[in-house]
Amino acid sequence: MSNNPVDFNVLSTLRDVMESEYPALLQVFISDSVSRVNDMSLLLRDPSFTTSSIASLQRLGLMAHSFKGSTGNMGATHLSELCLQLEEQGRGLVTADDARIRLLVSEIKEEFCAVRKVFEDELQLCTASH
Amino acid sequence: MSVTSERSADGQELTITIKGRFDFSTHQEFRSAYEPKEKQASRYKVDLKDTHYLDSSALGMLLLLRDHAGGERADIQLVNCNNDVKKILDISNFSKLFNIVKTA
Amino acid sequence: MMPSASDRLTVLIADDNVSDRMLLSAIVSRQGHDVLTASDGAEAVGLFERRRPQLVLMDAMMPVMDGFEAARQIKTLAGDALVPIIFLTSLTEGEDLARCLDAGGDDFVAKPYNQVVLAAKINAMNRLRVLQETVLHQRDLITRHHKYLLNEQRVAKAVFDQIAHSGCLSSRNIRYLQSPYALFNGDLLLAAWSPSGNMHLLLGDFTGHGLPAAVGAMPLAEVFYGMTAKGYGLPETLREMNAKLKRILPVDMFCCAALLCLNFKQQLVEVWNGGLPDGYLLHGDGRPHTPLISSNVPLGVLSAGSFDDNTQVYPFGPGDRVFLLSDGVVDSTGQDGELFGARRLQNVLVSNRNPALLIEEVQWALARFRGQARDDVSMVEVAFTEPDLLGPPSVIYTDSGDSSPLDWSASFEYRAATLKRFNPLPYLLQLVQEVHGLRMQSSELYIVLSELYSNALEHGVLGLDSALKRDAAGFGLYYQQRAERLDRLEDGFIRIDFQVVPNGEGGRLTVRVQDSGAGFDSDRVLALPPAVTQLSGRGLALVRQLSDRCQWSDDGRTASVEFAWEGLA
Repeated sequence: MSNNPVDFNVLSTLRDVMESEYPALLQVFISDSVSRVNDMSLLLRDPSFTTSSIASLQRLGLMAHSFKGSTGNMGATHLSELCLQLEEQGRGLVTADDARIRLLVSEIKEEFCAVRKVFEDELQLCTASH
Repeated sequence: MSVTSERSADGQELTITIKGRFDFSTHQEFRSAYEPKEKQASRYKVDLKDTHYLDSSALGMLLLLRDHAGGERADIQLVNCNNDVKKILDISNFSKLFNIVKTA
Repeated sequence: MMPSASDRLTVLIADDNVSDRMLLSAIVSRQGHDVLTASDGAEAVGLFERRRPQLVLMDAMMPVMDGFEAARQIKTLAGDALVPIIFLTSLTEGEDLARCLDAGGDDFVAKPYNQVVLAAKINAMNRLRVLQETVLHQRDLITRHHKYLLNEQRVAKAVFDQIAHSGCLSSRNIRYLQSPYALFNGDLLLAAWSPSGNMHLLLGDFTGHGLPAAVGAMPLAEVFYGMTAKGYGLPETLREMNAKLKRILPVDMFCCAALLCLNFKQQLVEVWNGGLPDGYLLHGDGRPHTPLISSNVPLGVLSAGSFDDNTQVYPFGPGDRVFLLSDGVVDSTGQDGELFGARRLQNVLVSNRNPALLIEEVQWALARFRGQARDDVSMVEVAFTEPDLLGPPSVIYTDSGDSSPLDWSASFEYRAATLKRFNPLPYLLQLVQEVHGLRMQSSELYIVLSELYSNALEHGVLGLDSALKRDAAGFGLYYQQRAERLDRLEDGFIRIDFQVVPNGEGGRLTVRVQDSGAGFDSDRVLALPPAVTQLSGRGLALVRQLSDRCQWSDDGRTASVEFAWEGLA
């Protein structure tokens, strides 16, 4: 597992594909992801959330699945991998473990911070070069 | 179904061999076998040894060959005709138009 | 039609993730396509319905309506056309991927997106889309063309029915089976009365299908009806039909045909078969059927000089029937490719008990054999019927009558060379029909003239003995001798004189027929009891019955008949 939160090859391809839209993509990703991470935390804090509630587990699983997709596309490989593990918990592909779930969400929050920093630096670079 | 043709050594006789069903789908190939050649043959043989079926368009094609070869003066042999083929030729009395040779 | 890489498509992208949507839009736009975006399944379906994109990139997991349901609905909306749907998925389980294809997805692409793979898949799907479009377009062209063809055939059939309906196929002694579109299989069935009360019948089978097969039928029918109505016999009619078809049809087209002349008065049938399967003469007295074999080349092949118009003649009396069929019967194939064949047909003929059911029984046998009907099966059965002495109603002409020739005479002498090949009767009948007063009796006139002429030819000039016609074997011998002697004929003549004189408001025709033969004892022949079975005496009795007055010269070589008419109203 790489120490870099973001794969710079992917970023380079993104920059190439998006051209002038590159900064917009970064911004959109950041704000979209903030709400996704928030939603996950909120779900866990909800009193109705238990590992025996299939419905809430599935909701969490779907959130993780969706976030896995977008983070993967943006080159945040480790973050995407964490989401995959959370998805497996939520979809019942592994036995749901409450402690494990909470740990994963916390790791996701932390990893996202690192990823966010990388993208904000990128944005700085973009505005700076214009 | 396939059509092949062969000239005799002296170039006077053209033998056309038909394999398979002699029907409408053979039309183009059959015509190409005898149509404008450098020198027209004076005798024709149509070898039907590997043919087991003729329909009315085949009879029509034979008439086209006969017309090409001089009509009433044409010298055309239909050789190696098995019983099925001979029966079909007999009903239309094509023995009056062609020299029909049965399979030995 | 291969799509070029520069085909500009409208692509619908359905993904609930905003950054993924942006990324995909950019990738697809860069490939030169126009992009529509939707953030859930329902929006995707709505957008599809309104804008009809050519291709869809569909995220599997979406809120409101997921990708699977959206794909199903879009496929339904697309109908026959192919709108490729490529699923976007980070699902990895085989089961999930299978679900995409089951829902109507045509391919899937994994996240994270690889623009090279995506481009390749879009192009591949587009090729399939174009292929489907081409197929549908051609299908529509074919359908439209087919409609035109059907209409053309309908029109051709309507024209043909005008020509063909003037026949006598509806006579009570004829039974037949023919598909309504037999014309387009080249099958033709015609029947008509001659002025002398004979019935002519033709069963024909043109090569080919569709309009080319039908096109020859019309001129053939016109010759058949025209010549039969004028009183021409089979040989002349055959020669004319052959010449006509030879002239108008392409070299590789021809008409297999069987032609019959049924003479109910003389109880014989004349047959010519060129190319049709064996017909059958079915005897009413239990004798085995006589095959009517094809011994001639079909019509339209031989030039006039080589054409053989010789016919076979057989006795044909009460209880007898002639059965003709097209090759659709014997050529019908069964499950294992075996042919129905003549033997099976003959079995049906032999085991038939009720004549009225013969054609049905052949049909049942065919159906049992192949399990499926063929539409080019034609069959006809003509039974002997007691002759209606006066024959068919005469044609009434409508001109005023002022130009009718009333006082004239004409003489004709036909010598050996002419007697061999020429039938003078149609022309002579035409001549006397110029006299309007005689038109009402044209059937009687024709019968009498035919009778006297054939007597003069066969008994007088050729010296044939009609006592031969006592049985079937003798019959065959008689007609064989007739053909041989006619062919060898060097001397001899028949003279026919016409004399028309007015008589008050009406007039009288006197016809004398004289031959160069040995003569006969007319009194003796006419004194014979009018035996119904004795064929030889019938003719003369008929002449006496139909004319106003008739007599023979003492040596029997000259016959003289009279026809009188009253003034016309």
